[in-house]
Amino acid sequence: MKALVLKDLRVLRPWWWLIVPGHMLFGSNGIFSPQTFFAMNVALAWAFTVILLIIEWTQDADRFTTSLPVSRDDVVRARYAEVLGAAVGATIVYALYGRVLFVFATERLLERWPDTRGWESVEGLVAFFLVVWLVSVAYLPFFFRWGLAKGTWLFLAGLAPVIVGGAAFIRWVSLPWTLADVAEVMGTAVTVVVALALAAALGWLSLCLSVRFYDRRDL
Amino acid sequence: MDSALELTGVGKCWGEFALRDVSFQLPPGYITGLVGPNGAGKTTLVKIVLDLVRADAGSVRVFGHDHRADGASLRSRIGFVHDRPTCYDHLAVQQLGALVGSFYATWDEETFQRLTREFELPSRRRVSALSRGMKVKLGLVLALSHRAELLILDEPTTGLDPVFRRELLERLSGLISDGRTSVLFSTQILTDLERIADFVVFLRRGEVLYEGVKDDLVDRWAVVRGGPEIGSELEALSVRGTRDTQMGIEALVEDLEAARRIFGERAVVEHATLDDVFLLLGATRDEEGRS
Repeated sequence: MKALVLKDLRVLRPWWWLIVPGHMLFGSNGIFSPQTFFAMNVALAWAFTVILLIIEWTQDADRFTTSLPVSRDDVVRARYAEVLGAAVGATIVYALYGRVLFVFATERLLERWPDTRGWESVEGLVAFFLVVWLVSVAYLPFFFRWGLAKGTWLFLAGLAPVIVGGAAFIRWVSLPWTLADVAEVMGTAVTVVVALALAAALGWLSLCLSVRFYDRRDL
Repeated sequence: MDSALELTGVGKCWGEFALRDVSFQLPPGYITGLVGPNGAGKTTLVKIVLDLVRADAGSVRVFGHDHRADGASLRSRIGFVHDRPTCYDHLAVQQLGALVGSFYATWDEETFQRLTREFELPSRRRVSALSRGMKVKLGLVLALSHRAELLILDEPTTGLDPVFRRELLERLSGLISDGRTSVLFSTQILTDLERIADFVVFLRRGEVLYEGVKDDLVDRWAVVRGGPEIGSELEALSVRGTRDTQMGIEALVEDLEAARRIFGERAVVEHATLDDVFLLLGATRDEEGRS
């Protein structure tokens, strides 16, 4: 599995230099709206996975990779490890943005952007990590079952109603909406532990599905 | 000694295409050519051996082991060149070598460097800038640099110029001289087979029509050409394919001497070439009529 992760890092090497300017260009673009900033950073974190998948797909790399002395299970596990690494890395970057902002911004400035306080709070960071992680683990079984093109379309077609319906339902029953809202009810520590446990469980379920799908697929 | 590769009753259904009951062995230290027209199932078979495609029936054993049960470790002993011979074309030759080498405990960097020089591959050039022939060379260098005992090549010579094809075939012939390396290569180019294959497997519409020693085919099989009246006499021979021609009938038979005895001067009986076998094996006169 380690060799597969290192392979992917090598494959992505020509694009490493894009990470910093990419963040500066897109991440900072949303700085005047915390929600946009949040979404931009999620998108950038997800770009790591997507760029890799696109490269693999356009190069027909499945055949090449699985002809190497690795098992298909290893291929899937490596992808999940990378996604986890990307989610953790992106969360750290997100926290660093918050740190920089709080070091350099004046009180007066922060008063104008009250929502930015979430960037440094535990709930805010956990929420960021959860979104990146959950979107990825929801998507990967589609990718491993149907490939990049069909898998992405089916994922988007399936995800949109879930998000819209889920959000509508939560609002309808007046459940706490954000992780910060939940933390106010349950306490920060319990909320974080429950959220991470749920993320781990969903990740595990997603991994099992992906392993099963990929094992049966003809390449 | 275990066969390098042994397929028994392998089957795969894929829409309208079906691979049926494919069985053959690849003895260690020999070159086997897998030959057949487009759509015969050559690439599917290569993919099944590499476990890229899952067979619906039958078994594949590599070096005596089930190819699925111990897939990863068996693949460390297999070198492959797919019909698209390389991957990650944005990397330089040297970088791709490092990437592939990291997967093999037996990777020999010195061999990689030496072969890169021998094949005149520019190590700093991006793979995408290489010609098809150069990519095949690179695929072969990658396959050889981890001391593979079984080389599986899917139509490696397609699209190559005659000079490089000859060079590649000579290289493959040289490889098996150690007695431990075996080669399975699929092709439609019969001169390649004639030049280097020890064994041949003829596939047509997903079925093996012949599997055996290439020289047996060339030495013993015959083509009989004659008027329509020879049709009934052919029944006395082991006929492997027939077709109607403007002159009458053309038939592929297994026994040259028997054909000469039966027909004497009434029909032309000649040694079958691989071209004849390719054209006639499995063909029927009914089929000709339909087409």
